[in-house]
Amino acid sequence: MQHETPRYWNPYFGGLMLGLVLFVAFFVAGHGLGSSGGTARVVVALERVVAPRHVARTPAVAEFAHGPGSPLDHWIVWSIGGVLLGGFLSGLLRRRVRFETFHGPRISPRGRWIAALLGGAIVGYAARLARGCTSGQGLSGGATLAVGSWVFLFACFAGAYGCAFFVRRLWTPGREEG
Amino acid sequence: MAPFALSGGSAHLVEVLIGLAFGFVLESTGFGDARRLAAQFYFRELRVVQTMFTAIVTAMLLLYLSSGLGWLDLDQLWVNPTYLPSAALGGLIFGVVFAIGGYCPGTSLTSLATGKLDGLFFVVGSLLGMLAFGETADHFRDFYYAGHYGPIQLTDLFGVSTGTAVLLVALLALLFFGSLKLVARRLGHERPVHWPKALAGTALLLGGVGAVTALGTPSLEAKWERLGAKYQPRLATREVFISPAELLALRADRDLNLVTLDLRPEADWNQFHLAYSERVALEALPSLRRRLISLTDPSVVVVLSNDETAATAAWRHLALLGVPNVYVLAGGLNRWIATYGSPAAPGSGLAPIATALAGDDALHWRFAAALGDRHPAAHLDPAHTPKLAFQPKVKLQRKGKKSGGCG
Repeated sequence: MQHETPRYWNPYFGGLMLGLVLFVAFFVAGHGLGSSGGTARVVVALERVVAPRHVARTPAVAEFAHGPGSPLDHWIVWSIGGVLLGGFLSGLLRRRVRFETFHGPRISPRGRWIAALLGGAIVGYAARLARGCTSGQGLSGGATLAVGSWVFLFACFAGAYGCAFFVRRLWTPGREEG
Repeated sequence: MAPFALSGGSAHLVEVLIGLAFGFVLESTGFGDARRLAAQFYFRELRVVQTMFTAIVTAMLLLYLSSGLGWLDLDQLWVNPTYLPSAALGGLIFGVVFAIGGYCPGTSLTSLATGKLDGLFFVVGSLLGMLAFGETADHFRDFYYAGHYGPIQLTDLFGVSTGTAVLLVALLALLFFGSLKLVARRLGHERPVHWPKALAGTALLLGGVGAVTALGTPSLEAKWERLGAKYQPRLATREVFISPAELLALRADRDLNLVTLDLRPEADWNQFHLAYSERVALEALPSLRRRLISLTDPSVVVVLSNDETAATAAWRHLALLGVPNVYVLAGGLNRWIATYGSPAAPGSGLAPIATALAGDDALHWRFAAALGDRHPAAHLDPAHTPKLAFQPKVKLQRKGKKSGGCG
């Protein structure tokens, strides 16, 4: 039903590849993969252009902007640039690059946009609170057996499974369809 | 030995390439499509858990295998520090909203990169959310920094070997794969288990765990053989040896988290030791690792013996264990007493031992009685001690500044 051509990789194979990339990142650079930290730094960089003195006065913002260096001067910023590029390349090769909206069968694209915007905002907030997201905490912390990362992982999946029933309208077909 | 200290343009290129591979794999596995991700939580697809946990165990096994083979120094890797309450609450909110928004920060980027508008809205939303966090976090600073345990790992938490911890994680992944498949099948989703592939995968996984256990973790002696060249120069140039006057200054610094480790035998300790120092045996240092890497910044660990031999051995051990900011008291307690003990003072009961041999790491002073830390030189009041000039050697390496993590 949902299968597009060419199909997505087998998830276990994808995991194997993802694990290899994660290992290579650690082996070569000494740190794992991350993404929310990069987005957070972009936010701080923009904020600093608009209100430099405010940034310096707000500790939770300033921690990314200390010293003369730009908040963008960090490996993770280069890395998310690569993620955009890699995602685009893969989509291009598989002819999946096109403007469209992925939404459940029971909501409109506009409803999906609102859910994505709202969800993105809270996920962004929570990623900063948890000091990382599914990449930095989940994958990288999980593979290095970091205690806090495993707490994050369990809490994350518990939250998602606990919430899913209440927001099923967003994703699943109605009862009559299946 | 990996990891490599890259800098400048080559470092940036490497980071872009790693990100590129990351984005490519995410998109190829369907992580740019929110429907495929959300389907996980309705048991319609299991790719989120299957891919994530396969990636975690794959990377974990490769990391520990390459460490066991001596190719990679695990203690130099960035390990996320644990802040318990914020990790738990942040993770819970993250998960709840993952089910609403359909993406996480990384997958939303690949979705955006392939032109998906829901991905674009998610990314815009997450920028706003992060802006909001920066502006509001000061109101719950205490919560944000609560429950800090430093970069502790499951091996520290459960007190088990890496082989056991790796086995536990592998079994957990198998448990997730199996139980989720079972539920999904009951609900009429997912294809049936392909047993030959499932068994081959399990065998590969457990084989990897077996190899990690067989290789074990390199002993400190073996690590020194490989890494000694990196650390020996710091000992040779004596940049990590601090004078008694500098130690006194460190002891007076109230903002500093100072740990003083005394490596001498108990008999010497009973004769004299510094107040607020801890006696520890060389073999017991690994068990202190967890505490020493978790010290609140700024922190300094000073190791000392009568002279320098035992303290220098301890410095080597701690460096290999990845403990930052470790220094040796130059000349040991013998020089400390010579500097601050004022043997000439009447009634001090302190006298140099005439037969002492230079550099034998034995106590070169005789006390009237075993005073422990009751001798005046054990708890000097810096305000009433003559200020001696010293060349400062301590350069604080802030743990938080080390590059890594999602920060």
